[in-house]
Amino acid sequence: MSRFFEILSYDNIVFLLKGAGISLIVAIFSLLLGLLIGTIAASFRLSRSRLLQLIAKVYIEIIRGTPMLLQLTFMRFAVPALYQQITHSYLRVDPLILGIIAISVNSGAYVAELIRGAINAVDKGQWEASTSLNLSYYQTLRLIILPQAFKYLVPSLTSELIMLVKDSSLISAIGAVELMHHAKILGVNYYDYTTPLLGAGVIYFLITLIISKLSSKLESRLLAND
Amino acid sequence: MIKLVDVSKVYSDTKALDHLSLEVKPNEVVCIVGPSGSGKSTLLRLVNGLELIDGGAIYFKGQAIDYHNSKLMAEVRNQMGFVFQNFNLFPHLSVLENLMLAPTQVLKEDPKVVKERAISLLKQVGLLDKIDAYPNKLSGGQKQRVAIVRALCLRPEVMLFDEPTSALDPEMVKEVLDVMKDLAQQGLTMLIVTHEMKFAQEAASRVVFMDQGQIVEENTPKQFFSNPQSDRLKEFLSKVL
Repeated sequence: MSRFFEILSYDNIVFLLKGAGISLIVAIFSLLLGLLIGTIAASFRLSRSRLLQLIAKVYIEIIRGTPMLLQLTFMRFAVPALYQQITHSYLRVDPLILGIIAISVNSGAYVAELIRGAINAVDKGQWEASTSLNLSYYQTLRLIILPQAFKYLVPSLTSELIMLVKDSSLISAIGAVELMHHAKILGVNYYDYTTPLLGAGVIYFLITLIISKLSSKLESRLLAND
Repeated sequence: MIKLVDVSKVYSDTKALDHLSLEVKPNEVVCIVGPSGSGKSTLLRLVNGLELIDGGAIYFKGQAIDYHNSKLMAEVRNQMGFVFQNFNLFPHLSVLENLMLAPTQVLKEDPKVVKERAISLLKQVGLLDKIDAYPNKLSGGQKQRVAIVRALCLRPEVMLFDEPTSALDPEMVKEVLDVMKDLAQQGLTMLIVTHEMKFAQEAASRVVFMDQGQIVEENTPKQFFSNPQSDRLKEFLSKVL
């Protein structure tokens, strides 16, 4: 800790912040992609087809039942190996992209359940009114239910984004470069892990704090129409 | 207009409707009264297809309603308006948007035409100044009047009312009933489940008393209230009047 200010110099802080930028990008892309996957999985889950329901259930249970680090590592090593077995050619993908895909697939399973819960939270009378006005199932979902469900979804999507910011640190395990990785590089350079990790911790904390504040603002705005 | 023949509806073990028959003729205003749990609302929900029928048949304009043919069901529903006890306005849409949604999305009508109709209907119920308001800014009575207009915007031939004043504060009941009386005078066919005996007396062409999933007695309002025949109706009237 004696070299605290030497390690946390302007240049090094910028270095950490660059890593944080990548972490944030990973988290946001994963949230958006996860939202897409989650919406599809949720609509499978709520569809009348038994097969689609089963596909969604199996996906959600497998993802929730295995560690994220395992899923990430599987994506990094097992998928390219399988690809090589089948096509006899190499698959080269940036670990950052692989990381985003793996985290999105993971997040999608949780988001699917969040969306399902939010849809169920909308008053049943809204479905009945839509039926009596002859709106179709998808019109009802798109025009009536989802806009209202979104309000219930904001708080849980916020905690999902906060989780993703923190979980994005896991992709350093498959060789992607982000905030955690940059902190480790500083640690190696200065033979001191404590200070860079402390700096990274402060940055993670500030990012999640800002997200949480922004979301409460959005939430109160959405609730204004209740 | 609407004819129920030997209609039954069963919820797990209880019979909500028990071989019930009823006919509503064009331009008639039929009020259904009875103790809670007598199957009044169920009857209305079956006519609109919000619930599936378990036995018997319901005819609309001479044609049996086919609950498993969604296209035909939709055609029937297009000619019926349904007003709920809890209004069920869409909270994320303004009054005008609530009114315009179904005619433009379902019937694909020209928005300009629909808007004019919405404006003239809102004027009729005295709510033109609320056209851009959101439902949360309206009182219960105003919400229910908007809900009635929302159903009318589809220009239905029949209006179904499911206890339209039961969720209202007492001082707001009249403004809703006045709108309904207006509609009755305009010759709209209406089937109304209600607890408002005075309204039934004044506005109905026929009053129906239901108990335990069956129609016990039906008559003109005058006879119904002044000269009840069955003991069950006598007992019911002695409690509510």
